[in-house]
Amino acid sequence: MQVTRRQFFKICSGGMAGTTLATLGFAPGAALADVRAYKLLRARETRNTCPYCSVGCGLLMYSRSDGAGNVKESIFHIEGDPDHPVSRGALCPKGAGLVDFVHSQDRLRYPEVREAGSKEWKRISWEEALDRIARHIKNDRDANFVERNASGVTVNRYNTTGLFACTATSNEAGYLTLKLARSLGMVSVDHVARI
Amino acid sequence: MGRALSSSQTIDIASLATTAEPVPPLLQVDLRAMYLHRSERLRTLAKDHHTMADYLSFVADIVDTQYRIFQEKPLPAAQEQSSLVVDWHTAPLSKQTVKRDGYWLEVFDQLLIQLSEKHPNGAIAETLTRLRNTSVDAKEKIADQLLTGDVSGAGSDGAPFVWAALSLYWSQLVRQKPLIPHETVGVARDLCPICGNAPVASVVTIGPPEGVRYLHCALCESEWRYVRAQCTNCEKSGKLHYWSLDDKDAAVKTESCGDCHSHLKILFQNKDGHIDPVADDLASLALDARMEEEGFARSAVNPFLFPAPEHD
Repeated sequence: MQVTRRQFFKICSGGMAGTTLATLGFAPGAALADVRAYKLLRARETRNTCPYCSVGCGLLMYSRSDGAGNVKESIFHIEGDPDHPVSRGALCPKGAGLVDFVHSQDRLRYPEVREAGSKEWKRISWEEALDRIARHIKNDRDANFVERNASGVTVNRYNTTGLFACTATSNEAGYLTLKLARSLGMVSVDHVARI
Repeated sequence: MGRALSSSQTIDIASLATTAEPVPPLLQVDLRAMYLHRSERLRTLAKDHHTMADYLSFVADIVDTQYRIFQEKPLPAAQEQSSLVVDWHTAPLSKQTVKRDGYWLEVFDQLLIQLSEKHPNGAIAETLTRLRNTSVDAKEKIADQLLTGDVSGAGSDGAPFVWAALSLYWSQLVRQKPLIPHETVGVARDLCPICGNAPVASVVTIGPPEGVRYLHCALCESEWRYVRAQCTNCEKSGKLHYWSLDDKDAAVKTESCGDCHSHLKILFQNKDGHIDPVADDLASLALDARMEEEGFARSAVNPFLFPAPEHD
């Protein structure tokens, strides 16, 4: 897309031959003598949005990725994104503690169900979870859908279930959330980011 | 920030919206303080450096000389005091188009003389003598070439001295007139918006505001803001990595881009308040060596370490 205007340089390969350090009489071999002694670490810095509230503060998330194929990337630090136009690097105490939220042992990692009358949470597959949610919505909607009001005017309302959507969504995701809810006739819709 | 409101007061929404100071798009560090700090930083780094102590001390000598000349013989004030608009489209004091004042040649000669006294023998002395015996026309030609990135005229041995003089000239030139930044969206920011040179490194500020990144110009020592987590060369952000030696929270890291295969150091002032972009970039040469092994090239030249002339 954009053509670079900066030149690229490799100065260390070839033992730094011909570089300033060598041509001014310093020992380039010595300069690179302990290069192998260090451990080279690799991390990533990724932008994201805080999931907690409707402010939607910008985040910079740091994760280690040392290149080894069997090592899973792991977030080690999260801070406010100083370039974010709204939050400008600031985070509330809850947002500042996000890294513990990420690594929390109590974090929900997969769908679970507690059947009626049971005290136990049981792990289920995503497919089963989505099927069961869809079934509940369908049954509820079939039972309570209001096609016409008392005066006989078509209203197509589905009043008995509401939708509450999460923050950290873009305008487009917000648009789709609303489309989904309204297509079912759902009236009660709210969103952490207040669509 | 932090203003207390009693219940009888009304909140002026407009004033709240402007409470936070905007992040300045341009910074110009004070030259006097910068040279002093750079020299001190180089000597401090030299003290603890296992492999480059002599070189870092030598570079500190050059910086000391820049500082002395700056104190004794600053660039005469500009005739007209009109301001310059910096809009990221055209560099107003471009290194390619500005007609250089003879001042830079006087600085160059002074630099060579003063450094010759300090380094009377060896390869350094030979290089200094060669440059001193170069004609004015040849010096201008060498400077023209060097400013376009061509080291062949000056040689990698002579380039730091030519650059030190050119940099001292440009650094004062860009500080003579008030600069009016016009932030323009969608314009490439890979080069200095004032003189058009590449950065030497990027610096994350200690603040306030903390954590904002600036690129530090290797020629005119100006700094321009550049958002974090985006390649400073090709503007892509999908394949960025941050590399450091031994410590994942190191103050000296480098940002690599898997799209353009370049890297530029990113120095965290908020982790080490003594960071100097030129000194710390130079002292972390081991990181460059390891990055080359990983297949990344530098997208910046350090003003005190030039590559071999034929190198592409």
